Amino acid sequence: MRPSSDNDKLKSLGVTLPLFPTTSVGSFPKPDYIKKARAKHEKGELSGKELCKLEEQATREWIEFQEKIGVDVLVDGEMYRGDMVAYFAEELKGFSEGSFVRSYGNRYYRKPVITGKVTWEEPMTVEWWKKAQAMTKKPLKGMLTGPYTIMDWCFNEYYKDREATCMALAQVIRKEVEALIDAGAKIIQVDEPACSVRPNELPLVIKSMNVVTQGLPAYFVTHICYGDFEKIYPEMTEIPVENFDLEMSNSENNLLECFRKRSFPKDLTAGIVDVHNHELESQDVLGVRLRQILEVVPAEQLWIDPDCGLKTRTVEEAKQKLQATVRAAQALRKSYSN
Amino acid sequence: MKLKLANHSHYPKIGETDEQHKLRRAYHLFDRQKITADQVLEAQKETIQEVIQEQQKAGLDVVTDGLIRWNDPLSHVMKGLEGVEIGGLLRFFDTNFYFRQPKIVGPLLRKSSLLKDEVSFLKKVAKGESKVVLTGPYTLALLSRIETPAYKSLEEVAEVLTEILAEEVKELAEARISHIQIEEPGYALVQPDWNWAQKSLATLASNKGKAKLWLTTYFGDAVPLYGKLQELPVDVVGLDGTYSPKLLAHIQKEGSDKELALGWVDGRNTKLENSKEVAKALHALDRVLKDGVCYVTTSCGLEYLPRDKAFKKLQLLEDIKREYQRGA
Repeated sequence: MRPSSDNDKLKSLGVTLPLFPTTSVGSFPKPDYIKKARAKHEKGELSGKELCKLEEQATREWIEFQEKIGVDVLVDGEMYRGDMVAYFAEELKGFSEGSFVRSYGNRYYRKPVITGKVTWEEPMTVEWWKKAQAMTKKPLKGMLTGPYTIMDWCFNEYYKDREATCMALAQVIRKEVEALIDAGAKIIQVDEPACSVRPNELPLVIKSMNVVTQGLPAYFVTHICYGDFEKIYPEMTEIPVENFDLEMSNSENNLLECFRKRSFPKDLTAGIVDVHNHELESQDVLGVRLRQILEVVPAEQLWIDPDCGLKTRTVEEAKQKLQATVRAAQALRKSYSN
Repeated sequence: MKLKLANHSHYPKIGETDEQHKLRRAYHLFDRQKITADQVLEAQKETIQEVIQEQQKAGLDVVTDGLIRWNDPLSHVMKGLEGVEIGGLLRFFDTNFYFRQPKIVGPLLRKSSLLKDEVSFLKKVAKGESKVVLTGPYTLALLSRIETPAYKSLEEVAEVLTEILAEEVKELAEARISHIQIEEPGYALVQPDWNWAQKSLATLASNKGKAKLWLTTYFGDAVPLYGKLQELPVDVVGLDGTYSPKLLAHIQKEGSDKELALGWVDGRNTKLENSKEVAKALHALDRVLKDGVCYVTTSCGLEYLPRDKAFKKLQLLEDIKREYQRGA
């Protein structure tokens, strides 16, 4: 069992996890039959109901795979979502669909446009969370995108400035968090990968996340990646969540330099495999990365996962990378129990 | 003052139509070894021709090739140098766009021309004035990781990169490129040693021949830099007006000894500015900029926008010019 650290909240929620809990950042690649089904649905050749049935099938396959390889905290894999911001823009009122914008290399996303007052009318992720949680006895994370990131990754043609946009979004994301908790979610991840974008706006990230999480009975995680952490550490740890899920391997564990100067005060989910590379890391490489992390982060604070969502990989690559992550964590667990 | 319309730098590589997706498709197929590098090159060339046509259709006086062959502003320039390895992804300033961070692992050496092929194609297809963009030595050094004992500081790296880029500027001048834009968004992030910047730009300017040398900053408030930028040996200073609410008043007060390229049209948001208001702001500078040329551009490259919106921003530049002339 995990020694006690900042996981009192988990205990109070009735969640028990082993040492070095393993999880995923959120997205998994969609199998070909989902890609084809989505394309057919867009052309009007497949009904929403038929698409949903296939998405459920794919979700079940990913849940089964995670269980089979021994992941501790599962995700639904987001078979029903496109992009992490566009999905919420499609579900909330006040957005228009955007066109393609490049994020890097040959990867594009549809960047939504805020054209009116943003409002929450009904749960956006709860039904899927319930379906996926019913497929496993292990805890399943509720997965949301944070207000600051939605604000930063949308065009804005309505609100007067960034702060007004972000705070309006914080109100609607809180409603979704409340709905997830009502449905039984104990661990909720609110991703804020944009939070290091403008260091001077970190107070806005904290303020808006406070609106999202304050006083609510869940263990909160935030995923942040590919940013200039040196500029916002240690202040970023004031974001009111219990666990920071950070990409570490892409930057070759450079973040540890920050943690050496000022110890990391919360639980840390460390990304140990690169999700933008076809190459599968060896267990030796992962072992080295984990040992480096454990030189500066106490074992009881450490969770382990891939750097970021695995949807950037093929299904086979994603499975291999996730399995390698879990194996590395299990080996480490074993060495600690000896 | 005489207004000229110029594309800032990059332009969206794909759009909404199937035809406008050909470059994305080509990279995808190449990645899976289903087409050759020559076929990718062909798709790049077709896309470059299309984006130049869009700029000309929008009435621009100065066009670029849209930097269609570039993956990002760092790795495209640095990957051709000896002593560099291309590393992991990092966010480019405060955008949601990522670059692969160059790692400097040994002495830097320019093995061959960095932009020769793309420049010769630009010359072939662009009629009239064209502009070639080079990420500046300071920004390249600032955003790279130094992993070699060959260099002790960022300044040392930037100095070597200045020499390398000066060779590139020389080739561009020989190719009779009319405008060469050195992009230094890094100046707004961490101000350089201005004596160093003076020397760096002088080295680049010494090779520019008849070309106009632009120095462009963006993604930061230009007001604190304005006086220093005016002292640098360049022909045109490019400024991002979207971070600088006081820029107009500052230019009114300080004037300009250089030609200016003014980016009050936001290259990062789809909302279209009011052309009359921008034209009015430009008229407010008539007294201080007098008979000089003023380039009207977007605040930054347009690849942060979808293709159709990018084109609308270019058309907006033409509307601004029309409004300006109407009010002259």
